[in-house]
Amino acid sequence: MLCDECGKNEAKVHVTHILNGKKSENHLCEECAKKNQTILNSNFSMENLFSAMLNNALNTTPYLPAKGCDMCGMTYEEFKQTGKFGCSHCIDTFKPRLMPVVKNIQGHELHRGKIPRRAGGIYKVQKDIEKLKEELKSVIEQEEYETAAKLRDKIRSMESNIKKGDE
Amino acid sequence: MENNGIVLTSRIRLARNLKNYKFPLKMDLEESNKVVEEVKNAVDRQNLNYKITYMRDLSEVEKNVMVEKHLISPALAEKKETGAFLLSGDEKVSIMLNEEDHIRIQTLGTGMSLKECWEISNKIDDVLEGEVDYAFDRELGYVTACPTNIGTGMRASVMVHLPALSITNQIEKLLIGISQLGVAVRGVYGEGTKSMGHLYQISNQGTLGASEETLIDKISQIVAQIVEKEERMRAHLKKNNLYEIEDDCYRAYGLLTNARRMPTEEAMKLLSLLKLGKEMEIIDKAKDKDIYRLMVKIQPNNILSSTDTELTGKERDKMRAEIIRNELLEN
Ligand SMILES: [Zn+2]
Ligand SMILES: [Zn+2]
Repeated sequence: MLCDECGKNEAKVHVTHILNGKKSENHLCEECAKKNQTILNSNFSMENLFSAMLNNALNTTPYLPAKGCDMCGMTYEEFKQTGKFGCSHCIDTFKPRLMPVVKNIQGHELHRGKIPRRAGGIYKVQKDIEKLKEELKSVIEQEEYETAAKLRDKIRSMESNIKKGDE
Repeated sequence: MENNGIVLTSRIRLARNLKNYKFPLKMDLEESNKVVEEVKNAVDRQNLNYKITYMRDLSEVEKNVMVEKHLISPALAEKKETGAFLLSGDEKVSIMLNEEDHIRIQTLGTGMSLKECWEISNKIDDVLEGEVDYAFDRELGYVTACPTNIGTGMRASVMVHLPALSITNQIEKLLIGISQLGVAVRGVYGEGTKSMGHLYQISNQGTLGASEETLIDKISQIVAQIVEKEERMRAHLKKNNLYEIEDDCYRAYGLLTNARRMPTEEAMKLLSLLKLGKEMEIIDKAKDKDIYRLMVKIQPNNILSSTDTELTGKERDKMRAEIIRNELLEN
C-alpha cells in the first residue's frame, strides 16, 4: 500500500479513527508520518468533520457578505477554511452562523461545566445559587429546618448582591 | 478500578485562552511573548514549583524526547518561535503555551486516574484564572480556537491495552459499538482497527453541554466495561485455549530475545503478546520488566533520538532488536 500523503513510498504507519460508528483510516510512510505527527496525535478527524459540516451549513444557507472580526480581522471565508477562531471576539462575530453547526457536532448548545470565578462573574454566582437551591430542597425534604433557614438566608443575600451589581 | 495492566495511562487536558490577545493562529511574535510572560508571571507569583522551557531553546532531538515522554504535544514542538511550556517538578503537569490555544493544561496519571488528574488540573486552572483574564462565553463556555473543544475545553483520555479482544477478532465490533456512545476511539499505529501493539486511546468526543465530572464518569464507565470484556476474554482463553496461547507467548519471547532484526510492527505485536502472557501468568519470563515502557522506547522517533547518527530503516531495525534483547535479558 502506498502512502496517502506523498503517494511514493510504502505506507508503514496506519492510523484508524472511529467516530459515531464510522471508521476512517490514514496510511503514511515513515517520513510523512514524522512530518504529520499532529495528524497522528490530534483529534484531526473531528476537526475535518467539523469543517465539512461548516461547509455544508454554509452551502445550504444563503450567502451574506460577512464582515470580519473587529479584533483579529478574520473573515467568515477564512473561518470556514481553517475551522478555527482567531480571537475571543470571533465567537460573537460568527455566532449566528456557528450555533447550528455547534449543535450538530457537539449535540448540545449550552455550556454546563465549570464557570471561572472572575471571567464568569455574575454567572458563577447564579450557578452557585442554583446549587444552593437544590441543596435547600433536599434539606427541606429531610425536615432539617434549621439548616434550611440558614441556606435560605444565604441564597437571599447572594441574590440581593447580584441585583446591587446590576444597578 | 484495580490496576491490572489493561489501563495504562490517563490524561486530562484543559484548553484555555486569554481574552485580550489574538489566538495563536492570528498572533505575532511580540504578542505570543506577552502571553508566555503573563502566564509565567502568574505561576511565579504563586510560588509554584514549575520550570519554563522555550521551544526556541530546544534542539530537534530534545523536542522529540519531550514528545515521546508525552510531556508536550507534537503540535507544540512545531511552534519553534512562539511555543513554550511550564513543567511541574514531578513532571505530572505540563502547561503548554501558544500551541493551538494560548494555554493547554495537561495532567498525566498512571492507570485509571482521570478523577485525580481532573482535580490537579482544576486547581492549577483556578490559580491561573485568578491572575489572567480568560476568554469565557456565557452560552458556549471556555472559548477555544477550535469549536470541537468549546465548552469545558476538556479532553479526558485513557490508554488501554486489549490483546485478548484483538487476537480473537472481537475488537472491531466492540470499538464501533462504543464509538456510538459519544466516545472517540483511536487505534494508534495500526492497520484497520488492529492497532499496532493492541493499544487504544479512548476519549470524550463532545466537550459542551455536560459538566467535567459527568464527562469523566462517562469515560470511566465505558473503560470499566471494556476492561471487564478484556478480562473475561482472557479467562476464556486460559480455560479453552491455554496450549495455543502459551505457545504464542513463548514464541513471542523467543523471537524478542533472539532476533537480530526487528521492524516496529512486529516488535509491537510480540511485546503485546509477552505483556499478555505475563499478566495471565502463563509465562514466567521478563518478570519485573515494564513492557509498556519498552513499547514506547522502540518507536521510530525514540530510536532516532537515542543516537546522533543518521540511521537507515535497516539500521534502525537492527538497533531496535538490540534494545529489546538488552532490556529483556539484563537482570
Ligand atoms: Zn509519504
Ligand atoms: Zn477574531
